[in-house]
Amino acid sequence: MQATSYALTLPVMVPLLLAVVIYAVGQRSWQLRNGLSVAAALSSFLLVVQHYRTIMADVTLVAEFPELLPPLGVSFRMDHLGFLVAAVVSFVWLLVTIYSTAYMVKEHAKNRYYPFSVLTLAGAMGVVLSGDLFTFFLFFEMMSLSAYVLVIHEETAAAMRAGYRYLILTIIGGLALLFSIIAVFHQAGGVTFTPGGLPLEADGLAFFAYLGFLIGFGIKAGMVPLHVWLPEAHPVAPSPASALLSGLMLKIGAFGLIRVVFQVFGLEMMEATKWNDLLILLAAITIFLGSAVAITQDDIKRRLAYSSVGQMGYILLGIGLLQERALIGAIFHIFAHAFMKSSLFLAAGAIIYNTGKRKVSDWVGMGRSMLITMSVFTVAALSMVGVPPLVGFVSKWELALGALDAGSVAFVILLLLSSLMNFIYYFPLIQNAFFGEGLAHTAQAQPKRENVPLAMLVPMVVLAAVILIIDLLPYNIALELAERAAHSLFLTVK
Amino acid sequence: MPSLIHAPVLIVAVLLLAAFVTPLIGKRPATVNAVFLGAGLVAFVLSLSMTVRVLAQGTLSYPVGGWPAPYGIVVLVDVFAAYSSLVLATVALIIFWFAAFGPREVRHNGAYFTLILLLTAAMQGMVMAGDLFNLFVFIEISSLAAIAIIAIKGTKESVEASFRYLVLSALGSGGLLFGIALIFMITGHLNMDYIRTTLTVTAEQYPLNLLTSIGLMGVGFGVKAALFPMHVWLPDAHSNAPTASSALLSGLVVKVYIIALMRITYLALGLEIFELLPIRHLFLALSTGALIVGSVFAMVQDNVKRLLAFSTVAQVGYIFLGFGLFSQRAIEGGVLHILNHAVMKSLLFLAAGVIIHQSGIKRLSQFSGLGRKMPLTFVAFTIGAMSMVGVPGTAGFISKLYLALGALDADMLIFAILILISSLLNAAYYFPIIISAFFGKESDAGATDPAFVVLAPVAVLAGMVFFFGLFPSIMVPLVRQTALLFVR
Repeated sequence: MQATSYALTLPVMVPLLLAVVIYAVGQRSWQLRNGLSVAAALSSFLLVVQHYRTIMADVTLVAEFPELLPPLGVSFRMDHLGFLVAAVVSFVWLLVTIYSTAYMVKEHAKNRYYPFSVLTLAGAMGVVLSGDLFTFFLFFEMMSLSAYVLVIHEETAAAMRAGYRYLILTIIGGLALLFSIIAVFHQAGGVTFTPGGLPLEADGLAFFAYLGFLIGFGIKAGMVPLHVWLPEAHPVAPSPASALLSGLMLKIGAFGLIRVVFQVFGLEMMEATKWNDLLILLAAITIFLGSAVAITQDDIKRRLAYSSVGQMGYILLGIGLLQERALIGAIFHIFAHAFMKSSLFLAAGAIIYNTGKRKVSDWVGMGRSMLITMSVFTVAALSMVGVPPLVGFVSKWELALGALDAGSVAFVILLLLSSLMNFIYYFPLIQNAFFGEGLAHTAQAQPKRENVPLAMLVPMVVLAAVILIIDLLPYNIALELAERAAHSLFLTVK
Repeated sequence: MPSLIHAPVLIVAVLLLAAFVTPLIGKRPATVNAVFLGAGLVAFVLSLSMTVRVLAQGTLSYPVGGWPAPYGIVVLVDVFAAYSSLVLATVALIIFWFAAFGPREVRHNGAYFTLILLLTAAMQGMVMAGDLFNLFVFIEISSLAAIAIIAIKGTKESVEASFRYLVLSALGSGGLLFGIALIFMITGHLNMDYIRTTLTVTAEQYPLNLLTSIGLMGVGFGVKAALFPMHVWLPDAHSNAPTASSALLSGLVVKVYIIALMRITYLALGLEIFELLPIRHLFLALSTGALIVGSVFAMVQDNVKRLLAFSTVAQVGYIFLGFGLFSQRAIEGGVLHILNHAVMKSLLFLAAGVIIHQSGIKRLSQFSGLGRKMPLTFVAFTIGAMSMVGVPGTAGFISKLYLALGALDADMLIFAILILISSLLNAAYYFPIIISAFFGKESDAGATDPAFVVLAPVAVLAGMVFFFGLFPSIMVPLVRQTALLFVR
């Protein structure tokens, strides 16, 4: 069922306009600037969740503006998938923005950070709520380009280098997407996300379009071998920005891929052409390589960044398998990984904020002095490993079932292997932090007490709490939404 | 108003008259500025009313002095001419403002304004001309005025550049004149309508003459429009002229010759010419060269104005590409790019002029940190650059979108890819400038944003980049009908 609701544009337009206001007031009052930044994310979140009842009644909301930007037009759409991802993005953004208000105090150029963070939020919400490829692309570029400013925030030589690499790959990805969109428009005569897919022919042009999407979204999602910007860019950004980049923006790439696979090409065409095999192959390599390289990293933020590469592989695998349960796993993992990776980056940020120690090997005994922060870190890390009943377990469970539905045991083994590798790079760190004997010399000594402002602690604890209890609730709302989203994406085939 | 019937000639007449008046009305800058800007404003209003009229009533044919064709001169305003005239009048008015209130780069504003007004009048005349003789006269006026506004700074480089332009441009004019003479020989007419009707009969009798004529005119217009590989004069000429001249030359003048060339093809030669001769393939090959060579040369430039000039070489390629692909959307894209490039290149040249004037720095390698000192100017420059790269939401994106869609309509996938690759090349030379300006190490050059009156035209152009990027539909009726002149 479809219904028109122009209120769909609000979660995008409110932060978009507030970004300008925040820049203007930022010169005069930092309280107002920080307050408005939090308000932007909060209002975005509330404007999304107000549609909860409608979405749960299986109504898809649309808002179309065909007169804008002819010949393709602009449109918005909110279905189960869009609702879930929009809610996750705006909620995590809200927590990270609250965290920023304390963390960024020590940083420079805050008047640049907040407007661009809110602008990036507007772009991300626009992507998630877009109703066609073209609108998707407009906001995708807006998000990617404004995120550049977050990446290079520190303006160190390393940050500028990483930022330049990010920028070039972003532009290449954007052009690949644009090419594919134009090709789709040429062949199908439209680019609206359509249940069951657009009327495309499986010819050479369509395959090139598929490759273009794979490149464009693969770059954004950190898919091997297009991930090269990610381990450079995520660590150099300020920690809250890393959380946004790693926790949320990567998901946008995966989200785009779901839209393209199921609502542009359509399940039938993907099954007939077997183009998904390429995606599965790359996803498998991504899972393995991301997790393996993470083990070798000593810088905590680099380790987390490589871990993100591996985790994105799960989501890509879940999409590529073309099985309903695998897709449930992929969609649920978008939610799960957003929460897990943000809390890891925020916890790491709190430790860096307090001690300046970025090296994992320097964290010996950290758990005893920074109990809350390390507990958050531990919960998220255990969830990454897949310990039940934490959220990471559910995604892996669904993914593994989906892999078996597809008839391949190999992927189940790969998932377990990757869990083992996750264990290898998280567990020793946690063990040392809580039980390791600090080397006697003073440089290794950890701070006496946990000197982290409340504005940083609360968001982390909230994230960890969600990871911890959402599966224990009688009604797992995220899983329910993921199931419905996957179901409706599969339902439309027949 | 009944007098609006005369709008086509009035536009040219008002500008010409003002050209002769400005040096005579004395030394008071306020009066000179008033006449100068007044003429630009009147031309803009007339052009707008004429465009509305053409949209409502169709092609306007105006016999000058009431003398009918084929002996009298006819001004023929179709949608393409109206669109071109409106683009010229709008962008010229903004550049006029900058010439009047921007940094002084020439000694006698009176004489400088005369040349600018002459150039603008000639361009307006050129896009509306209905006969070849009249067209040639305007081409000559515009070429000579253009040469003069390059040389007016009086520096060694600018005189040298303008001399080189003079030589090549004269060569082009010679080709044009010879080509027109051959057409006249074949048909006995200079009026474009009459040429077309006569050619249907006589073309078969004089195929070689016609072919030679087209070749000569092609080279003539190619040189003047700086189509690769005839662009060699452009980088020096556009980069050494005063700022307002550079914006006019790069933003408007090169395109007027493309418009004139295309008008000759469909008005005088007839569209059959595209089927008989491999013009499209030539356009495609040369514009491909332009896109690549222009961008690659732009990449290695250290002087900001030279970089912008080489970028123009590439952008001219887009317009030719649109006509070379020859599908409806591609032509729409090419025609839209006439407007979009005029806006964004003028914006970039004016912003660069402001930067050079305020800081005294021309070299890109010394731009480091300047963006923090003059943020408004650099934000404007950034908007222009983003439009060049084709970031969605800006005008440049729309032209690229239409061109790429048009390339697929014409079943030429490779050109869709070429357009996207050229965007990447653009990004490769525009983005490093912006990054180093905003985030680079502080330089010791003292510079600030200029006064509002100087920045106003830059801001208006920046606004137009977004406006035409978000609401291209406002131009769609004109552009679509223009494309339909070619594709039926």
